[in-house]
Amino acid sequence: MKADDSLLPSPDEVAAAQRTALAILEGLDRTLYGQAELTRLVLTGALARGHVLLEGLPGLGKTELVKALATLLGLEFKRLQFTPDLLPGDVTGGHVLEEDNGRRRLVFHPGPVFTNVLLADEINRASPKTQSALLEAMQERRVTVLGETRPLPHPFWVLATQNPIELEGTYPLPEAQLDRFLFKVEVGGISRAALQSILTERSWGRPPELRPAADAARLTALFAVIERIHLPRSVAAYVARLVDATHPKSDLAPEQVRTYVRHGASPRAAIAIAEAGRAHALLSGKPNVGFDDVRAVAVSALGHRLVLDYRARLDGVSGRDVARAVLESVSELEEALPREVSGAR
Amino acid sequence: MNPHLDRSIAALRRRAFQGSFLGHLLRGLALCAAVIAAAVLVARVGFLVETRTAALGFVALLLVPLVAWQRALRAVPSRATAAAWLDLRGGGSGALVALDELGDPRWEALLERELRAPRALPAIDVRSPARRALCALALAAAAVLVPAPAPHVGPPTGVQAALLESVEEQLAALEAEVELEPDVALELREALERLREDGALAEPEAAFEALDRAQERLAQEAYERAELAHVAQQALAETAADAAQDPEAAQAALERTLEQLAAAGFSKDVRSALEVELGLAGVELPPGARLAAQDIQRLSRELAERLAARTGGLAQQGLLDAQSLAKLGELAKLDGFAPSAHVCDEECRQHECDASCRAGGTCTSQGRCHRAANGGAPGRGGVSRGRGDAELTWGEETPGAVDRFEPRTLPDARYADPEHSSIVGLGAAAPVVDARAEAPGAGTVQASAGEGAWRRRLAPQHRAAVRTWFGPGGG
Repeated sequence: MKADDSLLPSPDEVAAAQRTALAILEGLDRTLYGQAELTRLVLTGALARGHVLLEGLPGLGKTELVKALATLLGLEFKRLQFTPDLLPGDVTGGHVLEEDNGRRRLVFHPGPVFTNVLLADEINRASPKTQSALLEAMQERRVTVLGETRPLPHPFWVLATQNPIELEGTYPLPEAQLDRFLFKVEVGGISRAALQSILTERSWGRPPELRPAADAARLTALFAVIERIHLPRSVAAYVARLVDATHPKSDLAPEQVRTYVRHGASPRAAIAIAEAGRAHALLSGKPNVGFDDVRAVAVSALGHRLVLDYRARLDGVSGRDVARAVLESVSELEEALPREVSGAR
Repeated sequence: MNPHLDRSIAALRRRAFQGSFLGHLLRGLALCAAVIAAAVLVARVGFLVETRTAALGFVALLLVPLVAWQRALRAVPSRATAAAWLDLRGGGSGALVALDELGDPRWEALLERELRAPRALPAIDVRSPARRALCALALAAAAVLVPAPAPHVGPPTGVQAALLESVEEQLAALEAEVELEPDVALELREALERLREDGALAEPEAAFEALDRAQERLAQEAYERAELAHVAQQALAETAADAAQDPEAAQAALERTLEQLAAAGFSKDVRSALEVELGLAGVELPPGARLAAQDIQRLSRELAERLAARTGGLAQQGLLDAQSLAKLGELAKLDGFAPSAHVCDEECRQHECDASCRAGGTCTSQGRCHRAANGGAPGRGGVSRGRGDAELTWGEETPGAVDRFEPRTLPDARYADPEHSSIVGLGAAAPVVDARAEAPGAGTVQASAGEGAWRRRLAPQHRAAVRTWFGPGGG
């Protein structure tokens, strides 16, 4: 940790980083009409250097969004279409026997995971074995094949899309892998106006040509500023209470958690909210994380990390519903003001 | 630190203290005032404590502000919480809490912008505790101002009254039999009068003790008189015996006895005896009078009889108990005081029974007062397990029982009655049946030593009917 890590970034630094981030966001918004919240969340996850899982029905623009993000970041991008017969080696790469000057040797051929931005399209169509091949890459940002560990390029993101698991021919992602995604964002339908814009402004729905809004140097500076975004103790305490409230045995847990949740969110969820909050604060041009930033990212960071029990499925309650209930029930203030003071929260 | 932010935080903490203090004060007042008011009310009404003394309990209310102050100090939010509250009021951007922690001067502009946003301090709302405090204070005022009920002055309780009446009757009987000294009679009457007037006010135990003391005093007076009469009777008997041999000495002894009897309250008897036997009106012999031996003997016997009757009268009135009578056992040997004089005849028993049943009950043929438990209503129980004279009522039987025991004709229990039979199995061959053995009440069972009744065969057709008698829920 640097000596000046505790200091806030300067207003100029924040402003420059915000400009870069907003340029990327503007490019995303130009690609995907009428999905401002979605694009902001995806960019927030990317700026927090977290992996993002996009869930939605086919044809809503998930793949286009990821491709646009890779383009705007000016980084190497690879797309891997997950299918039921995809093998782990197809993801990580493998050794191939080659002959060179009469000598035969095993040469490692890197898989598509060796890139900056990996689009894991329809990730839940692959078998759990293949899905698990991404575990080490996502968490450790490295790949081990035949006992040999190879680091992945920096930065590295997995932006995965998946169809709702209710559809046939899908394999639900295991909890351990879900926990490694910073966000799970639901891609909803778009408005009639957005649809009209797509029809009138685009031929065959093709998105506009994008130019990179950042490069490696800019991204490095951007990440440096984000790291110095200050997380106040009061906000950190709020994040801790939020995560604690997702556990059924917690005294802060609301009724929905006690009823539907079997296992609450892990500490990784708190870290995810804090880091995503930093990125969200930068998008707002702030030198610190605020309560509003936490509220903006909490549902997407918590929803997929909650292990729900059978009653939730029976009642049609999702993790996001429970996360919203937690957000509503937990007070931002650790210590309440006296009850005689009206308006005190 | 930004002075503007400092002022805002201080103002919020001050407001929180004020609100908390007022809330604790009003809640404490409400609670303490209600508790003390209840205690004051109980003390005034239940224990007849004076209002001024009872109201001293309200002094404890002076502690409430001190406690409220202490608790309000603890309720003041920390600086971080106050900054967070102000930040949330401005939208929750976190700027105030971050800059309060780090105080970076490069972001002063942002801080000033945040602080310029209107943030009204929270209003103090103590309406609910104030309402409760007002109610409690009203209760406190009522506890002090409501007049305590005056002590109930009424007649003595039933038992006390009966006992008092009995004691008064005994006093009247004693005065009828003997002449008490005026001061003794006055003292006894005053004591009974006090009991009659103040009996209800006094503790029951004290009232009964006073009545017991009065009874003992009456018994003591009666015993002393009876003892004097006993001694006088003996002296008179000796005088009567000696009169023939030494009339002068007998007359002197008679005169001493007469004086003693007059002093002991038997003047009436002395006067009566003298008048009957000698035609004199006083309670003593005239000076210089010489009585003949026969007169002395007659007078002595007459006096002895009258004294014996007087002692018997005291015993009849209950003024002499068995122990006292045993002490005076020699009286029974004297003439005129035979045991028959003390045996209560039928009229006497009826009179005694009426007296003792005055408070309730009925006189039995043995002349005893029977007081039944629970007001004497028939069938109300008691130690005698109820009363034989309770009326027997018919027509309130349980309806189900009536139906159950209603007579009905059972089907014929003979074997091979297809109408009342059911198939229990099918076989290829025709069943071999001993009709005689299957018949109900058949003689195959040895009817020895009472077994016959128990082992009689019960036909299946009749079992349902029997179950209504002896089955579950049956009679």
